[in-house]
Amino acid sequence: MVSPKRLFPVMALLVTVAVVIVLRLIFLQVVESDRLEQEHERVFGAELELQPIRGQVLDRNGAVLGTTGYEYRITADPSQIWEQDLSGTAAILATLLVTRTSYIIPSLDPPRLADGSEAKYSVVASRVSPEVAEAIRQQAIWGIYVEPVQRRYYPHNHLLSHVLGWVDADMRGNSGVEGHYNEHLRGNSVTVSKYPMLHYEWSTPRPHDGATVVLTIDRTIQATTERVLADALVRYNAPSGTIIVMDLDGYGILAMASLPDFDPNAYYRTERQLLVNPAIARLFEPGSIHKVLTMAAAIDSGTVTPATVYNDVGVIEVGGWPIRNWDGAAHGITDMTTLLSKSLNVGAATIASWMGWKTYYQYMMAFGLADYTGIDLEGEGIGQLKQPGDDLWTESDLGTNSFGQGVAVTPLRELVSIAAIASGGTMYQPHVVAEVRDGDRVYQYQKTIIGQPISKESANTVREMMVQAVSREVSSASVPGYTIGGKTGTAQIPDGPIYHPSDIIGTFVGFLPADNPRYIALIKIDRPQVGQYERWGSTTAAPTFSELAQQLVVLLDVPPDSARALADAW
Amino acid sequence: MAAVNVARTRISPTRVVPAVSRPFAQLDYALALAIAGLVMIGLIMVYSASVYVSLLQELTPTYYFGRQLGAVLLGLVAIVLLQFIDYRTLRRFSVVAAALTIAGLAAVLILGESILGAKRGLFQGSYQPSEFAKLITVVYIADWLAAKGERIKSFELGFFPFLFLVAILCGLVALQPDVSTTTLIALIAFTMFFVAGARWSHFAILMAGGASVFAGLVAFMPHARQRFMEYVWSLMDPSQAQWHAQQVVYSFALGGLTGRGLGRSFQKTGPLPVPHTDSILAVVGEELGLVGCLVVLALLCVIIYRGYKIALETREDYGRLLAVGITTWLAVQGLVNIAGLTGVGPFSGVPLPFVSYGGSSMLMSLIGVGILLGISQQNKRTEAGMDRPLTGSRATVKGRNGAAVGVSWRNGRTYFTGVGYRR
Repeated sequence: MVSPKRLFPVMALLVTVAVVIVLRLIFLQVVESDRLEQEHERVFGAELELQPIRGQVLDRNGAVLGTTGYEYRITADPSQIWEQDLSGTAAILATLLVTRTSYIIPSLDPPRLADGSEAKYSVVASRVSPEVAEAIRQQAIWGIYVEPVQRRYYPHNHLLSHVLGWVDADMRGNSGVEGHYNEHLRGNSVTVSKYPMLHYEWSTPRPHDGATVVLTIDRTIQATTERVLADALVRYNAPSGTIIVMDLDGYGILAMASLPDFDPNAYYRTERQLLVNPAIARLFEPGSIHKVLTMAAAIDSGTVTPATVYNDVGVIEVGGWPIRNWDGAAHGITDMTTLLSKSLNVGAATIASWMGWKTYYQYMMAFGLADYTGIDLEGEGIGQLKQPGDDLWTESDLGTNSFGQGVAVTPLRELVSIAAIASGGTMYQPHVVAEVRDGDRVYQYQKTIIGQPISKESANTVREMMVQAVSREVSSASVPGYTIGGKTGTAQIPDGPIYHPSDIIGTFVGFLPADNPRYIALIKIDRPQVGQYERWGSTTAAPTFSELAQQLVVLLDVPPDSARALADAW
Repeated sequence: MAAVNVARTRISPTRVVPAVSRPFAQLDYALALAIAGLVMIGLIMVYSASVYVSLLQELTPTYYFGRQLGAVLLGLVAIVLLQFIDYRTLRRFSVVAAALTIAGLAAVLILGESILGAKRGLFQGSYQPSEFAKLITVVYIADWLAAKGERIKSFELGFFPFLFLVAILCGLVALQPDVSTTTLIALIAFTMFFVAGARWSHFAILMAGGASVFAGLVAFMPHARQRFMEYVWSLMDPSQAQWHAQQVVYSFALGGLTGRGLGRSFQKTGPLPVPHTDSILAVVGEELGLVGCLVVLALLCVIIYRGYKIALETREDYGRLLAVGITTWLAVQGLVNIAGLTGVGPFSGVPLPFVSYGGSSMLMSLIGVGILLGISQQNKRTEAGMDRPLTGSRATVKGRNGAAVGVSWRNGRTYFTGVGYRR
């Protein structure tokens, strides 16, 4: 009954199947192995870059000035959207994106690719808020995808815009802090396989998120400074202006404001000219504030003492070029402090010629006028200081340079050089970043000396002269309760080969407290359009300094002279 | 036939030695070694293939390996125990076991937990009656066919009741729905029917009917239809093969001739879904290459060859049908699994015996080969005249050996199903 003969067909069938399987295995594992391996590599070799989150920018007290959030990109895979669903899908998207159906359709039904295949990716909307993106995601439309995209946010909009810079669509920092500290803020991306199943939590490499950058700038002081500047521009009908407030202990910038500014949230809608930070990039001829550098050089070189006098006849010729005072008058026998207080061009040219060009330019180089300050902001400009030996230098330049003409500097450069006088002859590197917090590591800014142009004694002498000069002649700059030092400037503006007949730049550099300066500020009001006789540094920049300083002493908690005298008495 | 059996068996009452005294004396070492080898490879590969899966499921890396090892140890105990008893004793339990299996399958349909859309397990999936059903089908159908004897050639007494029996078993499994296991059970049953001496015409009708039912299942069960159509599509255009099938093909290709090395499969870390169960040979192929696959296939062939050899050496119908059934079961299941993976046939959900992860499957396969080993030993004892009567069994009342008794029983009664002849 149960016969072996019946078993043989069964065994034969099984053997046949087994042989086919073996042949198939040889085909897959030997014959086709290389080709399939390459195909596999194409599918699984694909990689994905995980992006780090860009670090925040904080002010000295931890207030957020720049941060990173997410926006969403709505994309489509047109090959997944059927012809009959096209108008329906477009209608839903148009409603949610508040646009017209006809604007959506081209992205859902793009022309075929060169090889005749249907496109697999197109962007429907590039920057969509989380709320709208979530609404679209909940619709779960076949072939429509929502991708997160990083976006930089500046919660205070225009505040500090020139210093912060901006971040472009590729999350690359441009200009200012964003540009200079891009490497730190950016963090490091990490490349992983496109197939996330292959990476479990314990082995997935994480991108190294960007460092937090803490500025020396105080948000409140910055806002105050910007408001004071804005008021001044209105008051003096000026198109633009710059104010820099700096801590003399290590030269940390407390505020750096220039108007007009821009909104870094919408940098792409801003005229490119406005994106440049005038405080560190735009050159101007500093005018009379430059006289303090000439005076410092003369004092330090021993050419003059504060008591030295010269005879002001109203004109002096240096290198064949006549130099006159601002009032065209002759001031007779004049001492050095009066030279500063009355801001006499003839006097400045006189002491410069006493010094001789060699000494003079040595000092100007020591003050760093031909160098970058090295501030940690992207986009710093460099001044133009013609020197003996240069093709364009003539001896007359010695005379004009002495009172700030024929030399071009950035506002920051001028401030830093003059600050050396207020900080005892030592010049530090200005900086806006106090510390960089990269994960667990914190890098603190160490104050850096970039020069010692004059001795401490000379610095103190010139500082005292500046205090005297301001108190004698520039009452408009005074700060009630405080003694200040400073210098006004009314700079002419080069206009082709000559100077502009009427427009000037009103400048003022001032520091306080006078006997132990802690803070210094530079005010620069460009082309004030007020009465012909009010276009002076003393009538525009100096009152602006006064207004600003009165608020800064409160914000910075600087005790008035009387209180400090009392404290000293104790 | 029975007479021949009795005549060729050298029986001497004076030389009766209890089988229990030397349970492993006549062990089929070739078969035992092949099983041991395949189980070892299986354990190693289950560990290798399941490490990532366990971690992904937040289990310890050895979770699946440990469970599989437990099933293997349990199976070994079963094998050892089976060597102490005469396989003919199983006949006494076949009806009860069949009834329990049918009850179990029904229970799964009513109470069972769903895995991937199909109800296949009880007790949190730790017990799968359809695995049990395959073994019991073999044990019961062997009993039933052996009892039928020559009447198997009859349409009313052989073909029709057999069809009814298979339809119930297959129907219950098909409702789970598990088309692969249904097909498997049907193929095993049909093969046994064929080997038992059914008419060619009956067998042809059975195959044609089975094919149409299979076609019907494929047409009406979405999962089965999808798998079948995927296979058809992949035959037409290999690049259109579905993800899982495509990943299996990549696994084999990545392995090449000698493999990437044990534990170095890339595909098991994600692209292969559940690499430690049905697609384990893909991991073998990737890590151990063509060589590894051929070793597994060779060991499986040794088991199949020894199984059928044991069947041919068996002198009584029940033992022979039992050996044929068990061997066919392991052979068909193994080849269907490998054929599906290599793209020779459609993808199926059946495990590779002794290798794939799965406690029920492993235990049942080991019990199956345990029975085979038992039959082989019994044959050798019979050859050597060391046989002993089945004491305490109703079957022994009328004769000295089970086969002879079986024949005498068959000659005496008429019955519809196997249940009948017990009464």
